[in-house]
Amino acid sequence: MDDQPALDDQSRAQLAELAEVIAPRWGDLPAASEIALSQAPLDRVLALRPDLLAPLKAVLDRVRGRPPEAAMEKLESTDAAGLHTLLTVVAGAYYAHPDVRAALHYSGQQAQSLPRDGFGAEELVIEMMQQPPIYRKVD
Amino acid sequence: MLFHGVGGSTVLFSAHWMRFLPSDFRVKTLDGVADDWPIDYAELAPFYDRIDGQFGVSGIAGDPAYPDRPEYPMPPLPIGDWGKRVAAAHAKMGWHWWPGSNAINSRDYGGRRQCVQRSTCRAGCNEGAKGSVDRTHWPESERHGVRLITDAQVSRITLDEKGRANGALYRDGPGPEKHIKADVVILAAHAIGTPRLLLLSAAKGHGNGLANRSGLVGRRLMMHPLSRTIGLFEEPMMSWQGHWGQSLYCLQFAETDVSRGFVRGAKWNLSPSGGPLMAALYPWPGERLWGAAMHEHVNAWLGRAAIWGVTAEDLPEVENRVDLDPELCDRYGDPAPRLHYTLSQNSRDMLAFMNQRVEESFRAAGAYRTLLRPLVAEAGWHALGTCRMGDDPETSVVDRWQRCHDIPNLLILDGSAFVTCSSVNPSATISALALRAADHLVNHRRDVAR
Ligand code: SF4
Repeated sequence: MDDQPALDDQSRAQLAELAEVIAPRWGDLPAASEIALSQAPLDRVLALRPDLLAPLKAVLDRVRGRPPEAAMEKLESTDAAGLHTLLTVVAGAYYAHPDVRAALHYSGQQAQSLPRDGFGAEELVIEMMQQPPIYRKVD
Repeated sequence: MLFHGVGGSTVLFSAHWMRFLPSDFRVKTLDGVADDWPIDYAELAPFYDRIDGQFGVSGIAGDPAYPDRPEYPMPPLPIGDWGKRVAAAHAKMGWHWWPGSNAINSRDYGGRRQCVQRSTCRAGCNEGAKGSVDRTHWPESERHGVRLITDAQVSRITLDEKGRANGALYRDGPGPEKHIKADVVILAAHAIGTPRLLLLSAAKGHGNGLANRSGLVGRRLMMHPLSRTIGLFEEPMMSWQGHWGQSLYCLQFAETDVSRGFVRGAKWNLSPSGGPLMAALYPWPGERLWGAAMHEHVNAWLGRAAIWGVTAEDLPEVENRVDLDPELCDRYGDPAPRLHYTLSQNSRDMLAFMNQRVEESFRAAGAYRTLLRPLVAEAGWHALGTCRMGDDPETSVVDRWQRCHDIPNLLILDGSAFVTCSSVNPSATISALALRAADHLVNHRRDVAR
């Protein structure tokens, strides 16, 4: 990976405010601030997706100085690509966090053994096999 | 789907492994539109059988939507709880469904491991279970002496003084262009890259681009317009797991029924639904994607959703085409391809009909809500047909053995050669046709003048 500069403190603070609006506390699910999303979770996403850094900086620049709700509304109405970048970064960091996964009872996509008792609808397949052909005969 | 790397598009493809239907080769005869292929299903069937073995396909024979075929190399992968619900619903409605056929190992096969159902197939399979060409063909080809040159970008096919292909110009980094010589040149650069290269290679006697006597190089571009519907269920189904890949498919509406108001048809494939990020970023129609809404979306979707994808058969139209961009260039200064494409009324009507039927399917399976994307921009879109096959050099680019009519030692072994595009995924047919053409080339090598 190249040494692109990470986000500066000002941008991190701005992102933290936006992240709090994107992922507020909801039932058992923590708010972005409770998992310090704009710190290590954010760095993890940018380490995995360094291609997101430049568009993230650009979108932060575009809404700098606006209150976070207003910034989100502005993006929603005028900048679908920028909104998508921001949501990808924030939601990516959020849902990769172990506290969030635990609250969702989500263990991630895991390697599993294939079932030994077949593919799951054997009797229905036998019924279907007994149906007359439905393809068009040619010639 | 485009991917530049060893293994090409198969590295990222979903591995749905489908044969064309017999009617796909006789569209003109049966429906009075498009054209017939110069070959038929029966002629291609033995090559389908062989190619299934090479890629490693899991599935089950006996599907009434197809003629008889031998058993698949491996049994089907599990269809998941979502698949069981939909299968039961279709059985009740009298609609077709069938366990998905996938180029994914359900057993250890071909020196590759079996699938672990992690559902990350479209980012490349790190288990090696998916039959991508970097695993199924390149290693053995290299053992047999094939030299693979990576990161090479071909800019021109070159001709000798008799007008036969004799190699290609390419770059594989900074520095001057290199020329590689060949007695036979095989092009497989996708239905966008292949016509681009032929047009870029315009030469003396071929000012219109190589192999373009018919004027059809780049023309008749077909896509597979795709719609997608999410079905949300109350019950947990762990649908973040599962091959992707098709859990099952439906060909109930693949054949023409003119009472529907359009010709030809569509193939449906059912998939699992990914993790929380997919739920969060999905464009929920008319809804905000952040704040409480994001949490609600993930809560409704995660583990409780399934996806019907619908691929519609596009008809070939000469105005849908690839040509050279007059301004945009690649890193070496050669013109980029430019696409002209208008979705036909037939395809629009077809998708509108299918989307209503998909809704009925999900509701019958117990979904309490569906989310429709009537036309998906970032997926589907198998580009096909831009150097069509045919017996007449005036109306086709390649012959039935995929040799260019104008330059018989130049072959096109990709989806460009398709005459029509079927509604099913193209990889099995591209591969079976390539095997057939390669067999013919080997058996008639003497006839190709050096
Ligand atoms: S689910 Fe997909 S990515 Fe995972 S092992 Fe199976 S084929 Fe490979």
